[in-house]
Amino acid sequence: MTRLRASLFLILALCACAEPPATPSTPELIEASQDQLTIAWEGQASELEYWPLGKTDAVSLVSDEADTRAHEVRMGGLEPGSLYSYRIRGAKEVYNAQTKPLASSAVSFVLFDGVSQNELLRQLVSDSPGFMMSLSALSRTSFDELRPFVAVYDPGGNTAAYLRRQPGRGGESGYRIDWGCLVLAVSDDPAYLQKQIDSLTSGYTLGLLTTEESADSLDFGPLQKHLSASSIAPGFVLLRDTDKTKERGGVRFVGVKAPNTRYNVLVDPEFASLTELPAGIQTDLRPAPLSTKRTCAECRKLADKGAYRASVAAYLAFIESNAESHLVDDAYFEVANIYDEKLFEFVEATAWYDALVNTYPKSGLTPFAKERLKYFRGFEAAELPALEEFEKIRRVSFLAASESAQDELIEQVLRRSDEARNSTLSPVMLYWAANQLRQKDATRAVALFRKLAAQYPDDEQAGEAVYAAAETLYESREYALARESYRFALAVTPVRKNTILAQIQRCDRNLRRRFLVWPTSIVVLGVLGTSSACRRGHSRKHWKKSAAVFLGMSLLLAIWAWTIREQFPSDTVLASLAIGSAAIAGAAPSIVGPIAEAAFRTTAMRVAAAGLLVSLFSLSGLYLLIWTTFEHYLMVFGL
Amino acid sequence: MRYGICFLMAAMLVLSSSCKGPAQEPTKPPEPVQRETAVDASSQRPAPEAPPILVQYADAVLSIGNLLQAQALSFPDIEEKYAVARPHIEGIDSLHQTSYAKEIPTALASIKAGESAEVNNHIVTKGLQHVTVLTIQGLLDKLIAADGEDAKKLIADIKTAYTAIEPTFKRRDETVYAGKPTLAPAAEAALAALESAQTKPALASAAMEFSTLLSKTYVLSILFEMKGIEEFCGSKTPDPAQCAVKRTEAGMYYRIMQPAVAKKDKKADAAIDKMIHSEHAVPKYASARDHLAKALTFTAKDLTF
Repeated sequence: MTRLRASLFLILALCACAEPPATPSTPELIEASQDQLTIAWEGQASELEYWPLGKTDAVSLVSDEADTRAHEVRMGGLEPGSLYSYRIRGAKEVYNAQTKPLASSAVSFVLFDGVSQNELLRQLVSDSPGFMMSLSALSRTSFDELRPFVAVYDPGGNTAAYLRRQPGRGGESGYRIDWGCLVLAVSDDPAYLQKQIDSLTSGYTLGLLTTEESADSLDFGPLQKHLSASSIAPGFVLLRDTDKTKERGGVRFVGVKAPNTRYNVLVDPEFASLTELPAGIQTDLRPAPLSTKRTCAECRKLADKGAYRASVAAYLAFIESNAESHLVDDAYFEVANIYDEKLFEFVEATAWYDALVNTYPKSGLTPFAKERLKYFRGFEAAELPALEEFEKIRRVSFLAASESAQDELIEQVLRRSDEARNSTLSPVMLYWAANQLRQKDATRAVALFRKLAAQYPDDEQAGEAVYAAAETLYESREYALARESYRFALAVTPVRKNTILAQIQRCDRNLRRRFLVWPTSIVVLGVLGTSSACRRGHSRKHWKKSAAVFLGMSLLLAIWAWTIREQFPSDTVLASLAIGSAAIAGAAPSIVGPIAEAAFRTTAMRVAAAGLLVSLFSLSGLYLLIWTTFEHYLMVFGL
Repeated sequence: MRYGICFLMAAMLVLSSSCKGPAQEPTKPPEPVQRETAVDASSQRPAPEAPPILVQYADAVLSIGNLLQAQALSFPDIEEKYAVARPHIEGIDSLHQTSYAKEIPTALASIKAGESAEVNNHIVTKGLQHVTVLTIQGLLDKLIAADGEDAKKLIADIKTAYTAIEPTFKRRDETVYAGKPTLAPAAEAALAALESAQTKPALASAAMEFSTLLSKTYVLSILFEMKGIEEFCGSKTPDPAQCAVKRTEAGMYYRIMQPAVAKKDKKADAAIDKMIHSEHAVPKYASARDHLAKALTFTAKDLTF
């Protein structure tokens, strides 16, 4: 018995003296700000490596100077709303965590109750939520695999084991999470919640997570001063002890009590929604201006049917009767758009775009209106009727016309361009017409591009026209002329320097290929001619051998090429290359043999001459074969 | 005869090298998307563990992409490959309420009839990419809950599916990172991290990284095409044909990212949708970049090129 006690004592003593395990504990994300992430862990290693996700060549190092086993370090110099990877130095596992987004950013977080850690990890991978919030209290060890990635909260606060050991936790009657545009206050104390309502700053969305009883006693009046331009209440309430939904004072109360459930909550400055997962049932926490916009359904239906003037009239009536509505800017834009795009009445369109820009400068549609105004203002007012006619041709008539009618329309545009020679519109029309002729009549297209460049040297399209002329020549395989044009374009449009230089190189290459056709043809024809002139050779036996080689090789090459048929642009090219190569291989010895025999007496000389001639003949023949079949394969020869 | 054998060997050698290099060189500077699905032979090799339907699907997607960039299109081949891919596409359609099993054949029929061939080409190739991305997202979702052999199989499936979209990663490396391999090697590294993950957090971390790279690649693709829209639709003398092509490309890429953007930021979704689809809304690259960066946890710097 004494011996047993002694052994037990020895074992306990050894355990007490043993070194702590070298492997660090799973780290926890303690705090995230816009430029810092705070990570805590336990273990001997006190250094942490981190880098922007996916950029392993930008690793930074941070260490905890404190001489303890519990470490807390801050990864600094980070970008807001971004993912970073980190690893405790010496450990294998890499984790990712997200910095706090900018205050203007949309954010998402997960609400859950009674779901497994795996389900939340899945959500983490697919959605990268900002944080996770349990509706019921969590134990110290639960969800420890999530905590390296996101902060996990419960009604008591951040559940990180490291923080639970800190003194003073739980002193407050509630807490708040500031994440992007969201301020989420969690408490059952009406006084605490009311304080959050009263102190809300404009531009933020306030979310309250509380009980039904606490929520009912709150005064949401102070929220009214933060009403956004679109009349959306800047707040919502999530009730964790009920599944009922109601509305009071313009604020929605949504019950989220449901066992074994998780929700994805999305909040942006104008919208908030709660989606039950995995069912995907969505509940609006705030009415969404974007989804309810364009509610003049009748106006839109008329436009969709092609009744554009009736649609404009309907929009006007809508504007008149909904002057204070947040939907009016949308109606302004639609009216302008119909005048612009469907009716081609640009004076009216300009007036409506102008009205939108001046009346609703903060509308999401204003930038688009400004774009159009900029376009119209590039022309004189007197030019607008001609522009209307041109745009109608360009965008409607030309696309619907037959080929002959298209030619007539191009001529019509060219006539208009000549008539309005000194206008801003003339080069625009000229460029369009030349562009349409590129495929139909390259010579004329080039002439028109050059005419544009000569007549309107100061127009911003002049450089483009010079470049387009060179492109047209290249497309029509006039490589020498194209090269000259590209050189000229290089001086006129230096911004395209790299593209133009590459095109000049292509012209040179194509000219080189054409040039090589001559010597290779001479070789092939010369060998064929000389061979025919030779009296000896060309026996039937030779030709039988050649035919056998040809057939065998055709079959072999065709089968082999078929196994990599994706590499050929078409079956015709595949077959031509296989049969052509086989024909050259089969015929070369029979053609060359008689020449060597006639020219040299000694066998060694004959073999050498035949080898040389076969190589020359085969390479030349192969070059011609590829050049005529699919010349881009000449790249194989570096040509 | 011996010369013939020598020639046969030489021809094999020459043609072999042609398969390793670029198969087709366009006559003018290449359109970015036309080469998007071109791959080298190595990336066509499926992971051996992957189930046949996904291997066949990935192979068919690559082949269709290659066949569609040929100068003379072979429709029997394209249709044959599409028939192989169709069961998987139908499966994804039913899971995600998409309609690619209808849209892709319609677009192929239009190409065959010579109607807006370039636009429809993009509908086919980008539609297939969307199906592949949805496949990968589904597999990543399942992976977190899986263990042991199931997890290994899912990772092999993800690798197989990735081969079908790898050309887009490589293409963006060329167009956005000036040829410096960035996205493709990072994706390979993330896949390797998935394979070597021993714990659930490590698996989640690698899956997050891969998923983020996937998003980044497609966000960069949207922005790249938006620059094209600015060029062809926004100038004083727009090119309507190219403008339509660029809008289609951007629109198809945006379809891939739209659910994620809408889930995070409805305003960004509405703004980008309008930029791409409204005829008069010429997108501002910087504005689109900022919207996408905010919605998808990137920095503007990440998406600037």
